[in-house]
Amino acid sequence: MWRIKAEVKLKEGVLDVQGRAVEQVLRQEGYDVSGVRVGKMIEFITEKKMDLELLHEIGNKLLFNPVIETIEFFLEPVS
Amino acid sequence: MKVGVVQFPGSNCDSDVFYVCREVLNQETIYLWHEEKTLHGCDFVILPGGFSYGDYLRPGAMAKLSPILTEIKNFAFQGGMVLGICNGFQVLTESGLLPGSLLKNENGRFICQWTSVRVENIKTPFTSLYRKWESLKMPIAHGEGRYFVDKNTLSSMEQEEQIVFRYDLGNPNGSMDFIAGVCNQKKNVLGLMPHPERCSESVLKGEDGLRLFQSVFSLSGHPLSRLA
Repeated sequence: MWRIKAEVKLKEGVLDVQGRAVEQVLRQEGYDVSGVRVGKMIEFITEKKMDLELLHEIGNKLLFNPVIETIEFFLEPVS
Repeated sequence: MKVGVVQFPGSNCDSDVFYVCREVLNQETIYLWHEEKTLHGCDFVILPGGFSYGDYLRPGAMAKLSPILTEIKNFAFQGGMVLGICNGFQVLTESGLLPGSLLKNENGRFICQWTSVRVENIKTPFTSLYRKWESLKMPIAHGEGRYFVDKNTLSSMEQEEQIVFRYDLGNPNGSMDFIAGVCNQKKNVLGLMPHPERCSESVLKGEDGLRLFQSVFSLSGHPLSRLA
């Protein structure tokens, strides 16, 4: 079995208002951070290892919107 | 004209749109459940506001895969009239029927207020009864209405006169180029964030939305109950 994680983020250059708010609070708390982006992670299990083409098909169909977001997949075997 | 108002789980402006079409403008109007695989002969399909599928993943992301969307895409492809209001607009961009996307408001808040919207293009079947550059008073109520599209698409949309409405007194949600509503190249699909159905009766302190519906209904020559 395989665990697949899809990491979805707003594209660079697209204002991320959640990231901006989180960054403001972190800085207010005294942490010297910048470039905070809030994304989302979608995780699922498959019996067989999926090829990247199929994963991108799933991504394009539902998981992300290429107009505003990027997607990255991470695969790991689960026992 | 036969109007179909689409209902998704989480739609909440469906009754308002239905009321305006049937009670205010005397058109035959039916509801279309999202699982249906036919439009029942409707001439005009409206995707109302609300939070289809709870806005899970992205507003409109789940709704675009509803069975009824397959029918709506075919209908639009054949020139059928489709209007998306607020969440309906988000469904239309997600499904690729309209360009661009709607992001979280720039100020990070849900905004519910009256706003001023300018009519940029009256050569569409949705805006033929307005005057060019006319300012309309319409309410908005959304958390994710910041219109975004890539620069190349935007310039081609401008050339094709696809920008139909712009906010004209400030930019409440931070939309690119003040955009409040856009149509497709063929001008038979329109999406907008303001709610014309919430300003179609004088009792609601505004009637500027009424002519949007009347513009569409005037196409069929149906006797309208309240045409000025």
